[in-house]
Amino acid sequence: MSSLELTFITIVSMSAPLIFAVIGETITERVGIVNLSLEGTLLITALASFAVTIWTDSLYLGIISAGLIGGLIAFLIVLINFRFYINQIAVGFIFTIFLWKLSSYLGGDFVRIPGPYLDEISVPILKEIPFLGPVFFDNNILVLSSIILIPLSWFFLFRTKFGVNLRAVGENPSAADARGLDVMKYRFIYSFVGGVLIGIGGATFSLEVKYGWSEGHTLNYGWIALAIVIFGGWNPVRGSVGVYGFGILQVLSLKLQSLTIGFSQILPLIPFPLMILTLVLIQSANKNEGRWFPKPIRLLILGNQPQSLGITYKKDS
Amino acid sequence: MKIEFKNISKSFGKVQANSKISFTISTGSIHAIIGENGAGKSTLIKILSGQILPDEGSIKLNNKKMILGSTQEANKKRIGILGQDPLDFSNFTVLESFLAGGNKSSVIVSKSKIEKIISEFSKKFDWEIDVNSLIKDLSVGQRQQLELIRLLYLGAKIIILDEPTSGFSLDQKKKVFDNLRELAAKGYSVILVSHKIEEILEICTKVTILQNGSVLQTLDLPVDPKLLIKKMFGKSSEITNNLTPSFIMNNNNNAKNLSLEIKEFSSEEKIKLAEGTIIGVAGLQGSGSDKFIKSFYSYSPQSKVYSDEITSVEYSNITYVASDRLEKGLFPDMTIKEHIALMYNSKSLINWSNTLELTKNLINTYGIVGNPETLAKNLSGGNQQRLMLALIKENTKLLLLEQPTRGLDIGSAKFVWENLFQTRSKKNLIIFSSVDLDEIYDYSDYIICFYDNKIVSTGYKNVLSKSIVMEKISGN
Amino acid sequence: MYKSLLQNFITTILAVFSVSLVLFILQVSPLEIYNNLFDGSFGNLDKISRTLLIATVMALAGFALIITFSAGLWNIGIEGQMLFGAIGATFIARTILGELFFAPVIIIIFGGIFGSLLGLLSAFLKIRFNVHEIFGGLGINFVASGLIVYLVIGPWKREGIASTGGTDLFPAASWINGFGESNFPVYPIVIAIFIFLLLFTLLSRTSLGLRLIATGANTDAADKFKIDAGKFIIYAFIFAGAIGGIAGSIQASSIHHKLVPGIAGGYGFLGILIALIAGRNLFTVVIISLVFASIMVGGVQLQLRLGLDSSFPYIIESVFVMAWLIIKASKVDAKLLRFIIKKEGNFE
Repeated sequence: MSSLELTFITIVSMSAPLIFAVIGETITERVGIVNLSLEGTLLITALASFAVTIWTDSLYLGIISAGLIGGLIAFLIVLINFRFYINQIAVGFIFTIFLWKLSSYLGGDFVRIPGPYLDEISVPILKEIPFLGPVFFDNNILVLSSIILIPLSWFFLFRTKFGVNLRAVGENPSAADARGLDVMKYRFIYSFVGGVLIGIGGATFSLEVKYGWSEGHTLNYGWIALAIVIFGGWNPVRGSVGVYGFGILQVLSLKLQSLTIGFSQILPLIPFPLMILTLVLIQSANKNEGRWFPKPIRLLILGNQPQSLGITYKKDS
Repeated sequence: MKIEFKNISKSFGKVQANSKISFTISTGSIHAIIGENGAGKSTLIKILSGQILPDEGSIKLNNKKMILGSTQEANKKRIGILGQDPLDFSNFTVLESFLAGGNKSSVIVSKSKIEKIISEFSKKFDWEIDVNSLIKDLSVGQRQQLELIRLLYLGAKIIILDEPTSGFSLDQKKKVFDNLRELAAKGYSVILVSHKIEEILEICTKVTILQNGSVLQTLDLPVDPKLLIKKMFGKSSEITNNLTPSFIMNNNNNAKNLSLEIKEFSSEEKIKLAEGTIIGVAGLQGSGSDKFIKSFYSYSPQSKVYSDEITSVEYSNITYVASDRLEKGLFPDMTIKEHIALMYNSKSLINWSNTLELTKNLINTYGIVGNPETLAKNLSGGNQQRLMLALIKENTKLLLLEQPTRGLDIGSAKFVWENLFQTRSKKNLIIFSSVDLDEIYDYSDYIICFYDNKIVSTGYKNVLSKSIVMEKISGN
Repeated sequence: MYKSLLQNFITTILAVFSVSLVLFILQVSPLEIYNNLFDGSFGNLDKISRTLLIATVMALAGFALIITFSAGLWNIGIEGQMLFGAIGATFIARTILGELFFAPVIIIIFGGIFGSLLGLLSAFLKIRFNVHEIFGGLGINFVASGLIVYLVIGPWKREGIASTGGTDLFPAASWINGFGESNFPVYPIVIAIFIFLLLFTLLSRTSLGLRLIATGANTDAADKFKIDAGKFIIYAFIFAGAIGGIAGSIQASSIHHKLVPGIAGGYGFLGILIALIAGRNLFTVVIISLVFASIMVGGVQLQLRLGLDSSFPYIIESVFVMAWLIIKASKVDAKLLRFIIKKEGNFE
């Protein structure tokens, strides 16, 4: 195995949690809900999956419980927003702090326990492909699922009836309602689905990337995921490109660490100025002033925020 | 399909939008619903399409009661609505918007199939819709065309058209009407909500006239169009001669001349008028009359009022009173006193005791039921409008009023106008819009008629007769 | 007045009850916790001083957020504004100005200026490019924290050592000290009281403040009152940034006496929680800041005596705020109040 192959294997497997989180949040935001609790959800689900795995000795139960917890948190955020009209941002923000700190309280007993990890599985024929085979198809089940999830979620969102309806609810809930779609049902279901994916992202972190648990185990990954969702223009494929780009930077920083001290500390911050830049570009490209962008670049950066994102839905009557 | 409305009532707060509406639309008919603005047409339509739950009453389809207040049920019962503002998704492609919510398509979107459907229908009607363009790049007319195709494709058995045809050319309209007749013959029911008498006479077989939320009459067509117009406008169609004496006609001699620059709305670029004129802008809902009023209010406005050849009225001397009082004109969670301070306090430090005095005075002068600490949202509609009047500053040269008496009872409306008349001499110009022709004729000197976002007629009210205005604003 | 106080009292009791329930579920005794928190934060003068210092910083963050909330803005960038204030403070402390006897005054002023510059950046992104202040602010926070890491290990590193442990200590002249020999934070308290009075005047007595509130209350109506919303959004961010920056400079020169990564200590985020409860009420900010600061400071005792994790204060605070918001939104407190008043009426 060449060292380049090894490097890419590292990048792909390190990026798996972020892929889950970014796609989960993308689906959630596409239906019009902001799940701002990502930072907290990732932490608590990373802990939960690890703890359940240790208790039950079953990795799969660990993953499932993390997914369920992630979904439940998302469901609660929508419920509190829908039932009491408390701003989604406020609820998500409070949940972030609560879950983050709860994870470090509950996680106290699990610090530095050697963790279980997933066995490698490989896809028979595909793994024979030179370079791509070992990088993408000779890995554990979570990494493999994260790779499959990218085209799958894209296909779901943009090429199936359900995806079109889901996005319709996020774009214009009253029009969606007039066409017979149950807006709240859609929001509850797909926020839950998005939450499950985010939860699996948390599980991937503690079962695959950084085995075990330590306080602030997934620190800042939630915020990074939120930034990459925007960078990706609410598109799973573009978001995943962002995740892998970030992964490359991370690996680079590990290699360069000996050369430039502190680069590794500044590196995790790179997605944020990029996020702001993306937002600026998106807004400019949407406006007239963006016309000076060459057309291919315009198409590339055009990304429409779901029109009803974060807005509490009230049916009139 | 036979549709029976029975005792449908719905109120929004104090406003009774529908009261005990009962009538039947028979199978295979093209049935028109007409009425003035506020007569309750769109509420009734929204109840039928499940968007609004009525307070009481029932709807039977082919003698079977339907579940109300559920758009899912309406869709299941194949009720399709084509609205004035198409209910679609501006960031979607034509294809996606076409698919959203439809229950007929397969799980995996087949682009070529949908393309074929859209192009087949387009050919039939002579329309041009690019499947790959975005909805926001289409014209309103194209969006309505797409909606109609969608409804037909989904197999709607009851098709509601709510003022839809402004986006269609005459030729296209003819084809649509032919198609609707064909559908009706097959047993579909078509409901047409329209102001265009001509259209109604052309294709409808029956008409129900609504007035103040109740059914005035259901007639078999054809009938005399003049009669229909008369019924539609209710009391306002009776020509009254006891008009308020016009200020202009009495004081015309020494008044200065003004000119209105209105390029956006008319081929005539300017209207010349005497200072102190009250202009009434007549038009039905969505006719553009409110947009016209708004076009004067900005730092760099589209429409301007010139007090002589070069100087236009400055932004700081323009007051704009929005018709959505609580949403666009007032601060719901702020007190009357705070509103007064915002408008009248010119110093950087607020002297609250002076403001309180002023507030009390204004509350007295304008007869506002409330005290200085009352929140704007807790005032009744009439009192909110009185507060709006109290907030019109002395230095106002151009007063813009968007439907100034909308939703007010007769007493409040009268108060508003008495007050406006008292101050008119100090203003250069008052421009107001109204959907109530009586109001236009009672209080304006000069009338501008709006239809389809364009000025269709102008003139002093002694020149322009009420029946002409009625026809003009109905697009005839 | 009396009624709304009583209603808030009911809300507080219900929220504390919710917190107790969560503590109970986490298998710790609420009473023991409250007891230790109180003792740990108000047990002696030293503890009181510490509590007051933290409360001052939190209250400043809360004040800053009240300004932006009034203008209808979500100033998540408060953390970054505090960080920038700390950078401004360090910048001065490292120059010749830091040796002057009135160095703390310059430090506070520069902290305010630095913070407001970052606030201005959020406003610029929002108005010029329509970037929502939540995402703009979030990004700016991380950029600011990256900048501190860079400064600490780069240009401002300690002689010979480049670690994230912080810069060299400020010269003694740049320290904001306690009262006399004690730690009692008299100067920060004076600053906070000054800003309190300033904001109180601004929001309740000045045309500027009223217009700011109007902008946040209804942008459409503001337009009819000829209020230029964009201008007031900029003002709000400048004010908030300045106050946040001052809070950050107090952190730097009164608590740490140097620049360290993460110097805002999460107090900016806690400030958001405080402002969520306080709405536009400055008094409430002061009270909740005191309570939250005592939880933070008393939390140290929880660690020492009960062996509880340092995360406990945050758990209590976040549950309290969530419970408070839900109780207010569901109007349970109002219903209870009516019930109580009725009962009293029957007795009389």
